[in-house]
Amino acid sequence: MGVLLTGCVAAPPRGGGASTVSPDVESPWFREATAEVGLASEAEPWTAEGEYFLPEVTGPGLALADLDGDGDLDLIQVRFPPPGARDRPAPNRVYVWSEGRFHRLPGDAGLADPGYGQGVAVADTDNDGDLDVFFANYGRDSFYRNRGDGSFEPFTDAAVVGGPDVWSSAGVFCDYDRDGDLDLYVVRYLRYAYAGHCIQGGTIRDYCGPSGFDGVPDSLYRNEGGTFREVNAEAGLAPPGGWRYGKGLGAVCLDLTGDGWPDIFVANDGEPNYLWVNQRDGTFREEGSLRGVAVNRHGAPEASMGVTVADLNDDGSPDLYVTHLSQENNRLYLSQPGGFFADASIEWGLARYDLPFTGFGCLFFDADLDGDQDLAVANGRVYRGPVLPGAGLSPFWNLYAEPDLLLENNGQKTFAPARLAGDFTVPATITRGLAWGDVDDDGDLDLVASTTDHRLRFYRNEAAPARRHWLRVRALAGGRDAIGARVQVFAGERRWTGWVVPQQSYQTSGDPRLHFGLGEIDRVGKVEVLWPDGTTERFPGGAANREIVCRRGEGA
Amino acid sequence: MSKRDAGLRAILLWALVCCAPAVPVPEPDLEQAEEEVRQAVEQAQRKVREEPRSASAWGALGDRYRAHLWLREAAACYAEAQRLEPEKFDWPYRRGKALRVEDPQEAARAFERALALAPGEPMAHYYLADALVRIGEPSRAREHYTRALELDPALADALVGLGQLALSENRLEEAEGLLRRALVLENDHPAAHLALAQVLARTGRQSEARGHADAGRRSLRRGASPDPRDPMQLEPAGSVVRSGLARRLLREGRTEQALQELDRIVALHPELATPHYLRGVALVRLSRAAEAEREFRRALELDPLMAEAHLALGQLYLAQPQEAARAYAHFTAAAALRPDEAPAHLGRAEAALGLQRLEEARAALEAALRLDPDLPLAHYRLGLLAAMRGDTRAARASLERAERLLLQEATEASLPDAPGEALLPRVRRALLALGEDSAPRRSSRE
Repeated sequence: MGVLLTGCVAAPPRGGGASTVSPDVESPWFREATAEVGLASEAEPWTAEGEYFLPEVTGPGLALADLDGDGDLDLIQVRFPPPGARDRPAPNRVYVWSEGRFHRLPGDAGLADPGYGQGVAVADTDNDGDLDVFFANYGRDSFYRNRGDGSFEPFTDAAVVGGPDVWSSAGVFCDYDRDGDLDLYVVRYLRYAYAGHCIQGGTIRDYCGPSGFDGVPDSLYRNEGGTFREVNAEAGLAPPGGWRYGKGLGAVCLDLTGDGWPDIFVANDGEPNYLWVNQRDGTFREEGSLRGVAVNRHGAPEASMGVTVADLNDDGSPDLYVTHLSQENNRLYLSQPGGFFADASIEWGLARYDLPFTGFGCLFFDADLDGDQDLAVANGRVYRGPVLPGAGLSPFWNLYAEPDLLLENNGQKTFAPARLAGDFTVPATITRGLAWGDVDDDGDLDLVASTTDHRLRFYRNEAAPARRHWLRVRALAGGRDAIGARVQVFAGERRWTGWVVPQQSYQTSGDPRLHFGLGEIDRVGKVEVLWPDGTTERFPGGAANREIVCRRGEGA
Repeated sequence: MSKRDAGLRAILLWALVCCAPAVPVPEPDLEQAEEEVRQAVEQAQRKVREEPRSASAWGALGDRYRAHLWLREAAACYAEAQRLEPEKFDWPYRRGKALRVEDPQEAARAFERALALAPGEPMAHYYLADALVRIGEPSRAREHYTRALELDPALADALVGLGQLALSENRLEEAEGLLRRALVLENDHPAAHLALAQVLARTGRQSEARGHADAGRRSLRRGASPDPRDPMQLEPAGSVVRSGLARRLLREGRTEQALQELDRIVALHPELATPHYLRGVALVRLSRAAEAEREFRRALELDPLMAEAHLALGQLYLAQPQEAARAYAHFTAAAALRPDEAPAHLGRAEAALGLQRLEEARAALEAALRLDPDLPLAHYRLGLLAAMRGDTRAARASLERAERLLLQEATEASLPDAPGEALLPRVRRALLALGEDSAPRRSSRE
């Protein structure tokens, strides 16, 4: 039963409340339970040889969100036509969670978008208390409004869905102008038309890399009371003179410079990343190179794809982790005073493990509830390579399959492969989207992954011994999730920091609620929320192992 | 032991060492390799099998593999070459280069071995330092960057490495000094510009920081400096290697040789657009305009979105006054495909002027200057357009800006419609025609 606090509603999870985790023994962290939760029958593995059509190896993403407002996390699977049949639509699918399983909805709740899907972003864009959905497509994007009952209808706002017929890779919602509604940043990749295969290093036919194609401008759409207008020019989003457009694949939007205003980091493939710094007057200025997130420590741009954020060094500021191609380390850009960043991939031990793999989705989360952030990385090649153990796709696609990575934070500022990763790192696949969420509502975070061949994989978290505790925080402003808010949980000398950033990882939209592993701490002192409008409120803490809902204006 | 026994043992030992079976020849998957590559690889493999104790045969096979990015196989070949010829610097050095990204730990060991053989090689110290940074040993990296610099004070890469280390350790003043020294040696070093931009931003010098960030990003496309200890001048094979070589030859102005490489690539892969485009570039340089035009057109048939080919065709047609309309169409297409490229807008403006579409020309010139404010030709043309409108003040401002930029430039700019005619005298004539002398020349007389 929930307990009414000042401004906060707290409720235990319906899956069982406190200490619903595994017994007090070490067990593998993740067990694949795809079939168990009703997803396996939908697997649609490719059998065809690739025709080297580039968008078939860059997607797709997925979304975990409470689409029908019943408190559970539902699932949107983004899809695209199979290789060799580009004109055959493969509409997106929707699964709702009930009674411990996912169930595909008839008609997919109106979200069966036939576009060539890549990314998805979910948020309440009209402040009516339910979630709307944006699909980033190769070709025209699409936008769907929630009718209020968990079903959706196309939203034909010309500024967004009538945008350029180009290749969008992801969408990110945030309130950049602090006017109370969520604006949309659309990340765009290449100006690409199919012109056959490319020849890669080993002189074999393969997918083309991005270098032979032009980047295209991203778009910022300002929400003007429920309708959207592209404001690139007035927001100053053109790259400075002499620069090419980036080739964006991933993005996050939150305050990265410490002034309380949301900034936008864009992961560009083979080009310097962007950091659009909010100038607090509706405009942005690109400062990626100045602030140390554009290139690696050797001054070289890399093939940036996915991005995730967390406060690893406990300074209350977000650190960025960006995935890359094999032979390029994934990068940890660690926050420094003044809103600067330093490449700390080597110092934190991350560089040792990812070099052979091509990373896409990535997420910081506390897998074992020990109080620090672990890291999951979804891998899968875009160029051929040797077949690895665990590859169970068709002969053609096995050449691209790689195992995913699960890195454990040892609490000493270094990461190492999780000793008991379980099934998550076993199969070699071509994974792209990756989302976390307490899908089975038992107090720990499960993982859902999407692969290029339209398989979904569900990994049930069985990591934490029973003595570990957790707290879930939902921050609401104006009746919707306060995207961009910073939430800090205090317990004695300890402090945990998180940000409401549902659109992170790669082409993926996740649960906006924050989930803090508390280790053996079973009570928290207070919860402090820095709202997107720059104000701060404190809320009482209390017992662990429950969800606290903090509403703006109801704290102290 | 008798002398005879000792002799027999020595012979046996020699036989063991010298006739020991060679390691298996690494064999990458050649199933999908182009015929030319397969032949080149098989020839190098044959040589190794015929002379399994020849270090140079193993080294040549390693080079061949490395050229096609079979780096693990290359490293194995260099290791065998090193076993057979342990005193030769090249084998561990090349092994280190093959492994420096994929396995920096092993690369560091290889460079250490190379340095044990030739401690005075600055590039080996540099690459060892680079590998040490990658494996998280900054103190040792600093020692080797420093040693590389002692041996070759003009090695900008080593100064940049030291500067980046200082930056990562927050020693900003030291970093700034090192990076500025690097830029004196190589003023287009992208990593130096980008690291210096960070130093300046962290110390509150935003404007200068932005200048270096821009310069760094503009320089990113420059080619890597050649390594004198690792020339890799093997006969190329395969379109990928030839393509890289052709681009390098074009960059170095060796157009005839570039064209030969491109001919072979086009023969191997007539379906790829880029070699046709590059062939067109080479033919323009050789004044074979009609052939160049065919190549650019073919590139566009294969890849209608290739902005470079539109740009190149626009330039070709711009040199022919009767083709201004076609030039305009191609520049317009290039500008649409790549709106962030100033040359596309500038070309469009030139073509529009040829067609007497003055307002369009003005808009295109302004678009070009928004992207690159330092285009003297654009300022000159805008000045003339302003003069035609009777706006003497704007005309003078534009022409004076053009003059200042031309005086700053080391090379003389010329006019697209009058190749060989320098722009600066034209700007000065235009200024004189406005009836007043210009500020830069006034000050120079003073």
